[in-house]
This record gives sequence, C-alpha cells and structure tokens, in this order.
Amino acid sequence: MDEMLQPLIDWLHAQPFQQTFAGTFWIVPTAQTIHILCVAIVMTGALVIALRGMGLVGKEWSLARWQARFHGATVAALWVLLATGIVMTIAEPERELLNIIFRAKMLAVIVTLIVAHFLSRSLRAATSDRPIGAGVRLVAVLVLLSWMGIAAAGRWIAYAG
Amino acid sequence: MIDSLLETISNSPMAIYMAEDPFAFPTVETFHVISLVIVFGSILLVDLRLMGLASRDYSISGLSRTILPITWVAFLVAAITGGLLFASNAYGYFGNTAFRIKLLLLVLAGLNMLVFHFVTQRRGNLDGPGLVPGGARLAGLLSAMLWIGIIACGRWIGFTMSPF
Repeated sequence: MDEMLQPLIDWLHAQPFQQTFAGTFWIVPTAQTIHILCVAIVMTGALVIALRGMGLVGKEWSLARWQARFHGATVAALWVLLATGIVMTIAEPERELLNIIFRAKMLAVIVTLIVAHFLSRSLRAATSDRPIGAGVRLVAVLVLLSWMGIAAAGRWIAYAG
Repeated sequence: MIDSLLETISNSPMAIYMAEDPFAFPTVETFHVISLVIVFGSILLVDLRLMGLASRDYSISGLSRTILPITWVAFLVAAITGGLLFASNAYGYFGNTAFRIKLLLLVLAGLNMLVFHFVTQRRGNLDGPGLVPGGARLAGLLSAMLWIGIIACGRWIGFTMSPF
C-alpha cells in the first residue's frame, strides 16, 4: 500500500499549492480548528439522536423532528470535514497517507456514513412519541460510538507513524 | 507563589506519570478533545436557538433543561482531562500565550453564562417559541464566538509548544 501511495505523495510534493499549504504557518492549525468545530456538529447530532432514542433528552420533539433539525447541519459539516481533511492531507501527505490509523479512520468514516444514512431513513419515520425499536436505538448508539472512535483515531494520527 | 504551585504540580506523581508514560498523554488528550467537542456542540445548539437561527419552535428553557446537563458532564470531563494535560508540562503550558488566551476566553464564557442566567433570563420570558429579546440573542452570539475561540486556542497550543 505504501508503494502504491508513494507516487501520489511525490506528485503532491512537486505541486506549488502543496508547498504553500505546508509552508504557511497558519493553514494547518486553521484547517484543524475548522475540522474540530465540524466534528462537534456531527457528534452532537449523533449524541442527541442516540439519547433521544433512549428517551433521555429532547422529549418536546419527536426523533423525526430532531433528525430533520440535524440533517442539514450534519451534511454541511461533513463536506467541510472532507475539505479541511484534504487540506491537511495535502499539507502533510506522509503523515496522513502512510499512517495506518489514518487509513483505519477513513475506512471507519465510510462504514459509519453508510450506517448513518440508513439510520436517518429509519428516523424520518419516527414521527410519533412511541418508542422506536431496540434495533434502531442500538444503531443510533453505535453511530455515536463510531464517530467518537473516528475522532479518537484523528487524534492518534499525530502519535502513530 | 505561582512558581511554587507550578513546581508542586510538576512534581506530583500524576504529572510525572502523564509526562513519562507514552500512552497517557495521547489517551487523556483524546478524551479532552472528545469532551470539548461535545461541550461546544451542545452549547452551540442552545446558542443558535438563542440567536433565533435554529430550533425556534423549541422553548429556550426547555432546550436548556434537556441539553445543558450533557454540556456540564462533558465540561467536567474536559476540565479533569485538561488539568491532567496541564500537569504533564505545567511550566510549558503556563508560559504559552495560546493557553493563556484559552483560559481567558473560558473565564469570559463563564461570565457570559452567569450574566445570561442571573440577569437576561430573569428579565425576559424565554419559555415560549419564537425570537427572544436582544440581550439573550447577544448572549448566544458571544457564547458561540467565545467557544470557537477556545477551540482555536486549544489547537494552537499544539503548534506553539511541545507536549512534554
């Protein structure tokens, strides 16, 4: 895998924009800050949905209403996460692309997005105050835990080469 | 006095463990980031409602009652883990400008919350749906800006000093 990615890394290093991203002191910290703010939006949505599914918070709204409240913000935050993630990867390609935790994180993001998509479809139907099924509740908690694991992996990229 | 306090912190068994164990700092930092993310996200939910930008059919008092317990639990975890991270290099953090600004913004966010709770909330009726008085909207805007600043400073600490 490393050999496969090395040409991409070499190509990136040859690009003027890569040198700008890597050489401008404020670009990576700013991208990381925006990245964390967007993680907050995604994770808070997942947390409130999981807790509402268990009947612990936000009882004035149905799950479908909460789902609608978070959907647009979560989708927008995910796009910004992708953009800031690309900026960070361009600035430090070896640190990201050759890192096993980064690869595991990307795989987890894809799986979580797929599961979260199907969860959101189930939640759209949860318009009444009736408790949702145990399976949907479990998936909501798993999506939350998965986002937490992804955030944790993001931090550990800095420590694992 | 500050020097002796920093020395006491630096020589504590917990500080030495945090500085020397290769997994302690990254693990505690991970919990710190996740808890801070939840603090910011949950506060933002209430701030956006205060500003009238989202959830306008949810009463502010109802939203605060249901969301702020999450914020407080996450804040407690963030404060404990933040204290442990500080202990790992007390002199380094204390001398770091981004860290000092972060603490200052935390104090300002606390003051903003106290003013909102004890003055703005008591003056205005925040139990109904719809827009709230200007003071409450300003409190929401200030809170969101201060917490964005806190997160930014937290990230800048990592770029302006070595963790150990």
